[in-house]
Amino acid sequence: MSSSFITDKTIIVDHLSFGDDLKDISFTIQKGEFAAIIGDSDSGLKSVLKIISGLEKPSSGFVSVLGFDPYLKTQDYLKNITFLSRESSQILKNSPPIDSLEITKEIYGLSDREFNKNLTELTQFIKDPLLLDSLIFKPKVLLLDKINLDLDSIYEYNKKYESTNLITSEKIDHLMNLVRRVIILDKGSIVFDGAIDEVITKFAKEKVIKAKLSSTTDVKLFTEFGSVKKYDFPYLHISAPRTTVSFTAAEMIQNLPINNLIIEEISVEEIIKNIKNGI
Amino acid sequence: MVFKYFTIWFKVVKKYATIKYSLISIATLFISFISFYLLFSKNIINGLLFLIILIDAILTIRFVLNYNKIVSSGLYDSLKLKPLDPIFTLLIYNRNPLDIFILFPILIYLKIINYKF
Repeated sequence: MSSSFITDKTIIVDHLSFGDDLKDISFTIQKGEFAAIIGDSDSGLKSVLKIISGLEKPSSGFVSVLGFDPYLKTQDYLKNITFLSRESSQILKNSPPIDSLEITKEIYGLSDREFNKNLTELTQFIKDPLLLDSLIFKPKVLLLDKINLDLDSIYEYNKKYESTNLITSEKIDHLMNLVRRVIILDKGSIVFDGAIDEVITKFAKEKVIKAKLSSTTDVKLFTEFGSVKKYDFPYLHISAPRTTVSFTAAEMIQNLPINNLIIEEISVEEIIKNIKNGI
Repeated sequence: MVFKYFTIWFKVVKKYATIKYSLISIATLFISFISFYLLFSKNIINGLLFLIILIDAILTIRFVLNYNKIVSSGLYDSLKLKPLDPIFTLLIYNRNPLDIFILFPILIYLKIINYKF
């Protein structure tokens, strides 16, 4: 497909299958959209991003990114995308940041003027050297594989340059203020595609309070605060309704010997279970 | 692609190819060559060839081991999505002037036979 066919749909995935990992999935991502694909470890997350980036060829179906077939890895395509994974950072760990930037500048064929302009603009909101190195050539598509980088900077980049961002994750917590749309994969099939707010209000009505106790306590006491998910001294996990979770946490701190306490979203597995049960 | 690689390599690696580094490299090679010549042969050409083959073999083994480690770590995926051949990208990030000089003919050969590690 030629680049003249580019529409506002930057990423098109149509009836994509890949071995046993992905089964006939379809979705599109619009220009400027920041979307997330979430699922557990065997949901096919890794495969979907590998196919969209061009690292793997689909068994069947159609994939287009910026009007290109990613698997062909044409120069025009590669100069407009960036793929960030946990492993990406290894290449830079022994290099001073400025050296890596210089290498990237040459590989992507940036002129001195272009490089300096981009560097000045991006360093205003990006401090992470790896992120700077991945964005210095101003890619239009960002593919983020379960990374834990400075997501606020990535959000800024998305807003400022209207990049199309797709992130995969096995947790929903850090996506709450980042993405509007979420696609949930379960065993290679899409079980939900819609607003993250809808997932939260319909399928994640509870939150988990994770506490570390300083001394053993009668288990019966815990049930007053919510449903006990796990108790293995000193760790206690209690789920409580989202609307009253802060109040419950405050009550727990007052009435239980707690050393440490955090509040998290329920796991992706539980969200998927709730979607399947229609809860 | 090879021309682009050479251009980038030259720009990136030239600052590491200092006079001090080059002199140390040449001195090491010279001492090694004299040692091998004295040990194995009175024929200067045979001694030189032996030395080059030995250095190439050591560097190739090191490169293949390093390459396999990188492929298995998943890092290679990131290299494949850069607009330059991944092997060349890897060598550019390596930034060792001597490595490149000795390995380059081997890499050209590997590229010609389309060798898959």
